[in-house]
Parts: sequence; structure tokens; C-alpha cells
Amino acid sequence: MSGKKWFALFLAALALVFVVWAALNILVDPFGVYGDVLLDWDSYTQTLNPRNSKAVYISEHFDAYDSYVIGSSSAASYEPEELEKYLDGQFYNMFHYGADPEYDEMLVSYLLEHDSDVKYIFLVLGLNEANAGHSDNTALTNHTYYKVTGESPLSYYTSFLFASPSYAFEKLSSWHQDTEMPQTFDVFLPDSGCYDKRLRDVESIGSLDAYLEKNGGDFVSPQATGAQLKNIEACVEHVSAIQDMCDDAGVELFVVLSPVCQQQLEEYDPASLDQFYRQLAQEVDYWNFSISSITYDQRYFYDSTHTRNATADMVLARMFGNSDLYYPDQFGVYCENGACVTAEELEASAREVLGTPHTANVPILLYHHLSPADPESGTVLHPETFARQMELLEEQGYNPVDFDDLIAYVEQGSPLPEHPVVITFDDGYLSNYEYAFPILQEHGYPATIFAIGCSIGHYEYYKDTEYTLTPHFGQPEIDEMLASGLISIESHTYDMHQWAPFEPEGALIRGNLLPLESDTEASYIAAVTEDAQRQRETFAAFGIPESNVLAFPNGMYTTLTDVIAEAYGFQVTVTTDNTRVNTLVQGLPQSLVDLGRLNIDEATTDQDILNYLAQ
Amino acid sequence: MSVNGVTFLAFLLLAVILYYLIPKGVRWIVLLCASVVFYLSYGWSAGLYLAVTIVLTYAFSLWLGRLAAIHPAGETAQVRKAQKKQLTHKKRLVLAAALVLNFLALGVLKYGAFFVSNVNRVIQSFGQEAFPLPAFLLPLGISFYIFQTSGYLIDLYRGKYPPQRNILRYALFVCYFPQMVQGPINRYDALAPALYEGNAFDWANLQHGLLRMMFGVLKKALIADALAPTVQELYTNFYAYPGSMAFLGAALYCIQLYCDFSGGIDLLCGASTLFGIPMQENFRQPYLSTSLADFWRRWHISLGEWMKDYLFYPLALSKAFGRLTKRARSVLPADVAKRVAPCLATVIVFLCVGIWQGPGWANIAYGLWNGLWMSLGLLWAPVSSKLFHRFSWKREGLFWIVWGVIRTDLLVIIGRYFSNAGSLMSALRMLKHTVTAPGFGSLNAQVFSSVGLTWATVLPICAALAVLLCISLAKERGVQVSQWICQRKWYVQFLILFAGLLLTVLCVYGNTDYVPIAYVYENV
Repeated sequence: MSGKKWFALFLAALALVFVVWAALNILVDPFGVYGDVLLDWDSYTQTLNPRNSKAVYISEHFDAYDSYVIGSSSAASYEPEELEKYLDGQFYNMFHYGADPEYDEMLVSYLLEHDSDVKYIFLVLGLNEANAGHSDNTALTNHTYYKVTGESPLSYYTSFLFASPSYAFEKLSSWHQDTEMPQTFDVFLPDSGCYDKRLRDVESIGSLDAYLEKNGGDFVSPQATGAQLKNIEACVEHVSAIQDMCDDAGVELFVVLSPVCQQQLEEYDPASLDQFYRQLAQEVDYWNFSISSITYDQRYFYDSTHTRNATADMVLARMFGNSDLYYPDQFGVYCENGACVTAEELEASAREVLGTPHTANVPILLYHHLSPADPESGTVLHPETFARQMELLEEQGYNPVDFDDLIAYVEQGSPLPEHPVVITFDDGYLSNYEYAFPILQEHGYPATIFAIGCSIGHYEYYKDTEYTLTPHFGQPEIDEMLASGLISIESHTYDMHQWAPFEPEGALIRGNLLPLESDTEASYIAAVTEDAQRQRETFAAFGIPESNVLAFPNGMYTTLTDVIAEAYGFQVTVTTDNTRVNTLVQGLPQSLVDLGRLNIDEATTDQDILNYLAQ
Repeated sequence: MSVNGVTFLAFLLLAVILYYLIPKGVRWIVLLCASVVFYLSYGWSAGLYLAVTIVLTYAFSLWLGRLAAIHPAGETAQVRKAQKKQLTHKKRLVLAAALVLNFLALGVLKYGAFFVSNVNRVIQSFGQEAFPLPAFLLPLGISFYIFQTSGYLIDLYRGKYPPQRNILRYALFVCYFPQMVQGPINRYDALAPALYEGNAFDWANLQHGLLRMMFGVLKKALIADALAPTVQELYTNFYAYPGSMAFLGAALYCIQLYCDFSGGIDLLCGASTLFGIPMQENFRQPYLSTSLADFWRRWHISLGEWMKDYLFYPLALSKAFGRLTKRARSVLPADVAKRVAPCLATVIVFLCVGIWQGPGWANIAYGLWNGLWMSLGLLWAPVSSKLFHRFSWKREGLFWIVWGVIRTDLLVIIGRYFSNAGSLMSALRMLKHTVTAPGFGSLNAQVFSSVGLTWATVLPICAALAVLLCISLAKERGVQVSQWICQRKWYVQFLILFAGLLLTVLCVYGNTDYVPIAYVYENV
């Protein structure tokens, strides 16, 4: 072949390479620009470039939404589901990476132009918006939908056509590694536009020290303090433009200055903050949540610049006057008609509120079977010992409460008595009714029994076998105990506390809630969910109110167990960890996750109990 | 301007188009302009150093040329002999001055800090205050162009060819851009004709040049740069892994270095081929060598030949070494005595090779490691020959070839402990760790994975290495792979081109995940 022909061949091969390159980007579509027909994975494309992908997504779903959350990642925690409790709109959270008020204005303009029935714009601002200008980042991960920016479609589509193949390879590789749970590459819920916080929001939260010990790296104080906010003028200008657009379109605008964490606050000069508050007030009415008592409690933040979803729920409760949900005193100030507060005033009232405790330590006692006959074995306790321990509680001034009290404390901020303690029994033994119930009645103490669904009413035999078992209570006992108002019955799973020797040979044994070696993520989720469903049905059949507290059999669980439990409506989960100090934090439902308990048997001395209670 | 970037490709394309567009007689000016632009893209100060070297060596070259043109014109043979001797002496002085100045610049810029740090170590032991360490800029390719100009001056001294009188043409010889990143060290008589004559456009040059460039780019990206993090980890934190992993690190470094160095040479030789200018080959399947001497004839050939022509022979044939041989004959058997001078010259040459690699005692140790083994090889050769003769062994037998390759590669790998460990102590510790704690029992997938060797990373590297091995074996058997490809059916060629270009575009030039690592010898 002549050199000339070879060169023609070379050019042809090169052209084909470019065709393959373009085809790869169109088919795998890592940015969701070409319809993502192959994988249809919005969560991934939104994670890679939320600006573009969300705008593309919403352009195809205008009929499903009529209200929008606008802002940078400080707006991420404002969930449509929560907003819809207060406002009659169908919300979509359009938040993007990187504070950029200019982009916010472009986005609102696009939404108002293309969605004819917009009802609400919920604009969330953080201090970053007042500090950072429009992003000049030209990377594809920041490239925005052409209809929002006014870029020509040709330029827009070609820029993604020859995107680095690493994006496509990465997407394919991530697809291979994808699981039910969010990972770093698919952190979005495409239907709502929010982060998928299923994992972060079941991380157990307790004392502030423990939280900072675990997450201190996310709350580093700034190296320098007293910085000026550099983008106040432009930020206020864009907010003002957004308001004008909303006014013209008859759309209601909410402007919220989101809670700021202490570490971020320390970075800026209070005078600069005042200037921002003032200038913003001159243009729009807004809610200022930037400084409050929670500013100084990092548990309300994922990191120094991102509030927890639960914190955003408190913001909404305050804004819309929801007294059923806890929020601290002096939380948020509505600045209207040009009036505003100063940073100093906000800080002073926050300090004042900090004097009032918003946390409580609640120890939980765990009992099993009571028997006068065989008090030495295992976890069995003599009824007299139990009676003495109840007297001990009374003598020492402890006030037994139930889980509803804990939930009310955390969610509604309802007070707890001094020295609260929770009394629990695992498994659902008849002896709980025969021996413990009368003693509890005598003291007027509430208690919770975690019953194994498949064992309820099994007085003699283990499930459908001929193996005898320690008797479990049945319908008559349940009726009587529930009628007393002292006893609540909660879930200890339906059948995930199996006793291997009594199960059929070769069967998969689930002795606790840990996944089996043979489990895949999907099979585990299915098994736990199915068990929870059967438990719900069983409780309904016995007239037991729906359970919202789950005790893990043997105290064993994984993060995935917590996620499934949370999704199934369990507000509280308890373990058998007696080292865990149960610090409940008002406003943070996560402080009800994986609570510890002291397991009590005949070997447990009164002093052991007192030591545990005093934690 | 990184030669691994798209910018360099665009620059090269423009230079090639311009080169062939203008009349033949002035085509070299395009090359000169391109070389100046290329070099200045690395900074003006580096350009200044280069310019000084060009002017200085040019002046000395003219001086040497003028002296070479003088013919002794005495009336008698005795007078002419005396004049010739005087002239030779003068030429020698001029050459010495030129070389001293040339190497002084290299010495100060490259070894200044190393020298001062060692002086500091001595004076600090006497309680004196240390001197501040100098921080000179090390201009791109200085180790190459200093050697190239020095070789040129020595050739002039030897009267091999007349000096180039046009300073711009001479400047092009020194700063021709494809040789500036990491050589090869070209010879004037081999390079100059093609450089100045204005080559006609040849499709075959385009074909071979492009194929070689692609091969070089892929070799570096898919093998050298892919191995670099693992090698870095194993050399830096060798104590954290079983000692056998340190050996693996050194072996992988050998592969990395070869693919990096030869990959760069392939890219730039390919680029030079586009202009119809062949540069000196620098590698010939070095890891298929059957002895260390063979290895050094195949590895960094242009440096090896430079050392041989301009250092080894002058040393070995010098009067001093002659006297040494005589003295050796008086105390050693004749067969051994005649090898003493070459052995000593070999040690000195490889000491210089070690020093050339960079400052530091580890590099000196690397040079000595090679020099001593080479000398031992020289001394062992007669014994070996006798053994082969006695037992009728055939050196070309497969067993002896494989044994030779394994033995040589083992010595090369151990040598690389020194050349990449950062310091002599570190190299020795790493060697000790390899020997005293090989820890074969604790080798498992997790250990390999912690140094970045997972299936996902190893498989593509192995595939690329397998292709490279096939190409190397084919070359060893005398098959020119690019020619072989060009002789295939058009669709086979198309498939090979498509596969190569696909990898080049998707894995290298179009892939933001791939960030080329600077060539190992880019800054020596």
C-alpha cells in the first residue's frame, strides 16, 4: 500500500475513533444530556453535575412540579415532602453545587419562563452566597443546561459530545458497583432533587463530645477570622431581581437565610454580616435563621456548612408556626419592611437560649424472663429481685417513662421528668405478665415489652414444632396489659430471633438481624422488610397498636438494618450496648437510633444498676 | 509545552506543514524557529543558559577549526613535527578549556547543591555553620545538550569534520526540539545532513513517524505512568510491605523506566521522522540482553556510545593506562594483566554514567555497581570461555540465553534499588529489607491491592506488556514492526490503526483522568 493510501486509512481510522468517542458519550451519557437512554440513571447524572442534570430533568417534568427550592448545597436539606406539609405546591429542590446567586437568578428566570403555573419559589441563602461570585468554572461538571444560560444548543451538545471518556468509563464502573444505598456517585433522589440521606440520617447521634470525636474533621475552625463577605452587593441584587420576577409572575417568594454553624460563623466579621442582613432587608422580606442556639451545637449540622434535614424541618416548623415540631426558643427572625436584626443581637439571644437544656440522658433497663423456679440460669431473673429493683428506682428518685415520652421529647420538645428511665422486656414471655406486670402496676411504672411476633400466644411449643419453650403471652394477657395503659408492646421482629436447634434442618437461620453470609443486599432488604410486614400484620391481629420501636434481637444490627427500620416507620431502635449513653437531642430524631440498654440478670447488682443509671 | 499534550501535537502539525510548504533551502529555518519556540515555552531563563552554551561552544568550535586548518609548514620534517606537536598541544588546550567551561556549567547547575551539602556535612562535624544550599534552575535537557556539544568539539579536535560556520545552523544542531526533552545524544555527522538539507516530503516518513509516535505515547501512558504510583509507593514506604514487594517495586521500576524513557524517545524520534530526520536509536530490547555489557549496548545507546568514544577509549588507550598495564604484567598473569586497564576504565566510565544520572551518592553507587560487575565480567570472560570450550556448551543455546537474560535482569533490578531510592542509605535499607524480611508467606491480594495492584489495574498493564514483549521479540528476530504492519492487508492495517488510535484518543489525549507524569530523564 502506498504511503498516501496509508495516510487516508489513518485519517479514516481517526474519524472512526471520533465517531466511537461521540457514540460512547451519547449512549452512556454521563451527564444526562442525550436522554440517558441506556442506563436512565438520574441520580448519577445529578451527582456529577446537578446544575445541568436537574435542569434537564425538570424540563421533562414541568407537569409534576409547580414550586421550587433554589440555592446552593445549603438548600439541600429542605425536602419537598416537608414543604408540602405547609404549602399547597408540588416542590422540586433545584439546589446545585457552589454558591452562585447569579445562577440562582438565571434558574428562576428559566423556571418562570417555562413552567406556566409556578406557585412558590423557596430561596435559601447561606453566608457563602454573600461571599462567592458567579462560578467561572468551565468544567463539564459545572456546565449548565443551555436553556438556562442561553448558550446555543449546538455548542452545548458538542461540548458534551467529546467529553473525556473517563466520565463514561466511570459511569459504567459505578453502574457495576451500584447498590440500593446511596454511594458517592449517586447521592441524589431524582424525584425530589434532594440528597439521599438514608445513610447519614440513621447515624446514631448522642453526646456532643462523641459527635465531635467522630466528625470533628468536618467542623474545623477557620485559620483566620474577621473576613469580609465579598459578594453582598451582587448577591442582594440577584435576590432583588428574583423577587421582581416573582412579583411579575404572581409567584410567592420565600427567602430564608439558613442556619450557620459556629465554625463558619467565626470566619466572618460581624459587621460584614450586619451589612448583609441590612442590605438584604432593604430589598426583600426574609427569615433570618443564621445565628441561633443551634449554631453552637454541631449535631444539627452534617458539617460546618450544611444543616441536617432535621434542622431544615425545624426551620419550616418555625416559619409556618407548626407547634407539633420542636424548635428552640428565639429560633429565626422574620425581617420585613426593611427592618432587621444585628448579628450581635442574634448571638446574644442564642447564648440566652443555650442556658436551657435541650438534651436528656435516658438510661434503659432490659429484662427477659422472670421465674422463681430457676433464677440462676442465663438472663432469668427472680421476681423478687425485679420487685426490689423497682423499689430501688423509686428510692433513688428515678421516673420510668415510655418510648412515646422519648419521641415526644425529641420531636415535640415535650419535657421529660427528672431522672427518666425506661423499663423494657425482650421476647414477650408470659412471666412478664405473671410477675412483672403486677409489680409495675403497684408502682405505676410504664414499661415496654418487645415481643417476637411468631411467638405470641405460644404457651407451650416453639412455633409449629413439638419443642417446648418458655411460655410467651397471648391475647388475654395482651388485652389486660394494654388496657392498663402502663404496658406498651413493641417489635422484636416477627421471626428473626430464631433458635437454630428448633428450626428445620438445612433451613436458613436468622437468629438476629445481621445479614446472612448468603444474603445479597436485595435479599436482606426483602427479608427484613417482609418480616416487618408480618410483624405489623400479627400485631394488628392481636390488637396491638402499630409498633414504632424496634429492639434488635441480640442487639445486633448493621447500618442497613437501621435504614430499613427507619423506612418502615420505626422511630426508635434499641440495642443491648450497655456502654452507650443515650443522649436525646431535641429536634434530632437520630438521637433515638440504636439506643443502648443495660441487660439485667441475677448477676447484676444494685450498684451495677445505679452506676448505669448515673451515666 | 509538555510533549504529551494536545498542544504539542498541534505545534508539531503546524511545524510539519510549514516545513514542507517552504523551499527546501530554508526548511531548516522552520526547524530552528520551532525549536526556539519549543524551548522558550519552558521559560526564558532556561533559554538563556542554552544560548550561552551555543555561543560558547560555537566560538570554541571555530577556534578548533582554525587550528585544524593550519598545516605545519616547516622546512624540515623535524620542524614540521615540532610545529605539529605545538599545534596539537594548543588544540588540546583549547578543547580542554571548552570542555571545562561546558562541564563546569553542568556541574554547578546540576551538582552544586549536592557538593555544598556534602561540604556542609563535613564542616558541620567540626562545629562550623553550614553554607546555604544553592538552588539553581536546571534547564531542560542540559545533560543532553552539554554532552552533544562536547562530543562535537572532541570530534572537531580529532579532525573528524570541519566546524559548522553558520551559527544558526549550529544552533539548530544543538537545540533541535525533538532531542531536547531527553535526548538522544546525537552526533553531528549523523544528524547534520538531514537537518540542513531540506528533506523532500515522503509519505513513508509520515507513516513510520506517526506509528512510532503512537507507540511511544501508549507505552508511556498504558505502562509507565500506570505503574508509577505503585513504584512510588513501594520505594517510599517499602518498610510497610514484605521485603519481596521491595524487589517487585525495583522490577516494576525497571519496566516503568524503560517504557517511560523509550516511550518518550519513540514519540520524539517519530516526530523527527515526520521531517525526514532520523535521530540516533537509544534502545534495542535491553531486557533481552544476555550480559550486563550487552545490556549497556542496548540501553541508552547514545550515552553508552558517547562514553565509549569520548571517555573509555581515550582512557584505556592513554599513556597512563599503558603504564598501568605494564606494571600489572609484572605482578599478574599476562591474560589478567591486559584486562586491568580496561577494567579500571570501565569502572571510571560507569562512575561517570552514575554521576550523569544525577547528584547523590546513590547514583554514584549505581554507577559503581554496574562498573564493578562489568569489570568482573571482563576478568571472568577467559575462564568462562574455557569452561564453555571444555564442556562444549553453546552460548547460543536456549538455556544459556535464558540464563543470561535472567542473570542480567537480576543485576539490573538490583542496580535500580540505587538509582531510584532517593538516597544511598535508603537503597541499602531497602536491599536489606528485601533479603532479611522477604515475607513471601504474607503476600496476599490485600498487600498487592494496597500498592495499587488490583485486577482492574494489573490486567490492562499486563495486556500492554504482552503486546510490548511480542513487538520486542519480533524486533529481536529482525522484524521491523512498522514495516510488518504496512505489509498487511488494508483492513488489518485499518484495524491495528483503529485500535491504536482508539487507545491513544480515549486513554491519553481525550481523557482528563490521565495526567502524564514528567519523563524520568526530563530533568537530569
